[in-house]
Amino acid sequence: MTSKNNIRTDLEKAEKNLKLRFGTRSPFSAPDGYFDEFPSRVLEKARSTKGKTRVTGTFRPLFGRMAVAASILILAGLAIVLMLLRQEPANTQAEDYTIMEVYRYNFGNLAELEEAYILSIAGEDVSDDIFSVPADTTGISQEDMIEYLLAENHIEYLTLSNN
Amino acid sequence: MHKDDKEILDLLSSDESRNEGFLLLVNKYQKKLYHHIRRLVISHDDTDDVLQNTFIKAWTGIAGFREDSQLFTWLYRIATNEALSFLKRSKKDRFTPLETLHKASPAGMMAGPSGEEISMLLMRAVNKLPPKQQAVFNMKYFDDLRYKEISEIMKTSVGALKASYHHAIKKIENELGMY
Repeated sequence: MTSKNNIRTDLEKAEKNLKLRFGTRSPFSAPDGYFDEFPSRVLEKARSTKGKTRVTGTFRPLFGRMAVAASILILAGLAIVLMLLRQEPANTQAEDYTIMEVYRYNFGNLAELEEAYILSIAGEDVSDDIFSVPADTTGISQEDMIEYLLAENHIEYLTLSNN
Repeated sequence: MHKDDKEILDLLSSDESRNEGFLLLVNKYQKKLYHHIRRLVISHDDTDDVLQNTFIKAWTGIAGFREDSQLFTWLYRIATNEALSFLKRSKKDRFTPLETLHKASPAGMMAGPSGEEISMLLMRAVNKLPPKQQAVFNMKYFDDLRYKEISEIMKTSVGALKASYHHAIKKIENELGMY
């Protein structure tokens, strides 16, 4: 309680001291005649606001709700378009496109030189199993091949080099 | 409630006498509110804008005024909110109006400061407080409002206001210590 009283006394003393030294007069003043013309000026403005206020009370909320609904519809539309656009590459993968078509889709228009280069490596109609080992098309059996490799010391060489 | 305020409210409640009531209201409170706002926003032009907005809000919101509170605390509340909102909006330009207070510098007071310069020094110190604390300080120190009234205006507890005012006084004392 004592400290509470001390705080109050301290505050009162500080406030009194401040008022003695600096007073309570405002250093600001309004231009001459300001308070004579202000009431009629603000009344005029207030009366013109009255009409606007009524409009605000009836139409504006409706307009606001319509604007919000329109914004939501636009956003939803944009989201759907974006989703469809994102799904497009997945669909093309499922279909039977050539390497060049897929490449063009992903990297845009190629310079003729680049296109020719890619074709030279992969070929326009290369199938998806390009990297798989083809079935025996040489007519040489596996046994013949092993014999040949042993005779030419290829297997030994490979075994040694692995060690 | 003051009798005058009751008469003003009666006039404002009728469409036929609304303009007359409004003019009485503005005439009665314009000077007090002008100085209250001016001490916060500093520039006259800004004060004029904020004061206009205050009375326009009073005009449009008078139907919602509850007669159990005082008209002047209600107007002070609108004015304070408008001034604080203005300060918030124009935060970037906050230091421009303060420059108008810089003429009261210690260098210019070697021969002894005038009364206006002393008041200006105090205003400079007050303007360094946070806006809400400034509003509390101004209402208590300059307008001599009671804590209960300021409490209604600021919608803050009396205890919090006392603490805020105490802090404000201490900060101002420190700021003005050299004088």
